[in-house]
Amino acid sequence: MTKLDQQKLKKILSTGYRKASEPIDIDKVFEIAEKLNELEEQNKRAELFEYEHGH
Amino acid sequence: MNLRSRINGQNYLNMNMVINENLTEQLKLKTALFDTNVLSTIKKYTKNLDVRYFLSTLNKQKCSVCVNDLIRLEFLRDANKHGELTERKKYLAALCAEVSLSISQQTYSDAMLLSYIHVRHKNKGIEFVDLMTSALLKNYSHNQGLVLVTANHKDFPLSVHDRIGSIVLDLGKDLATLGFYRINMEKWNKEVIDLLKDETWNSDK
Repeated sequence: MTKLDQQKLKKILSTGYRKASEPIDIDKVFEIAEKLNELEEQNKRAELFEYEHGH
Repeated sequence: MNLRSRINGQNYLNMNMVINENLTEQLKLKTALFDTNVLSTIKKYTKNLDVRYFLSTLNKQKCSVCVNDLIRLEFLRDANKHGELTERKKYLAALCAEVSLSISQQTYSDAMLLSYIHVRHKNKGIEFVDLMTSALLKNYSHNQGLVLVTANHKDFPLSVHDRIGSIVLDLGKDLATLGFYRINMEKWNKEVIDLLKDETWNSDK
């Protein structure tokens, strides 16, 4: 694996957690969660549509 | 009982969750290890006041939230598309602190030992991730610093764990009972001694 590949892999696996001393930004957590829930719902609907009309 | 509290400048009306002072005190300056089911509950119920109050209480007690690598993997693998994976990672990054809970050879050995203890107690079907999580709790039990928070009580039996408290989140249609668990080293050592004494287990046959 090249150095560039290793860097790419590292980026894919990166976590980026906040520092332990920082409190949870609850509004930010909920904002991200709501966006995620919406995205999951959209994807689910798209998959269902594809299943119903794609065959 | 409805509570009316004020935390971080916000009023919480019509909130049902009660967290007793003893548990609150035990979480002070500690690290809460969230199980996958807790991550999913918080993700799902973003408008719920009990969930908000629970997280605010952890902030107030300066209790960090973390996950281990296996729980992280369990949460991330539920993503179906790249976009979902990215958002799940962002969610974890916002909720959890960077606390390193490395899985060592000792963790594997303890997980193996624990699986034998569970078999002796006829506790069947305990998930691999939960065995490893218990073993990690044991490795971090020396200063009582790590507390597991989970809605899965079956996989953390009291034969080796202590439940230091519980809370009920009123989620509308559902209720979630979260337990706070630690490994009790006295119980653990007793179970290991019993295992060694048991001829069925220490026989070469």
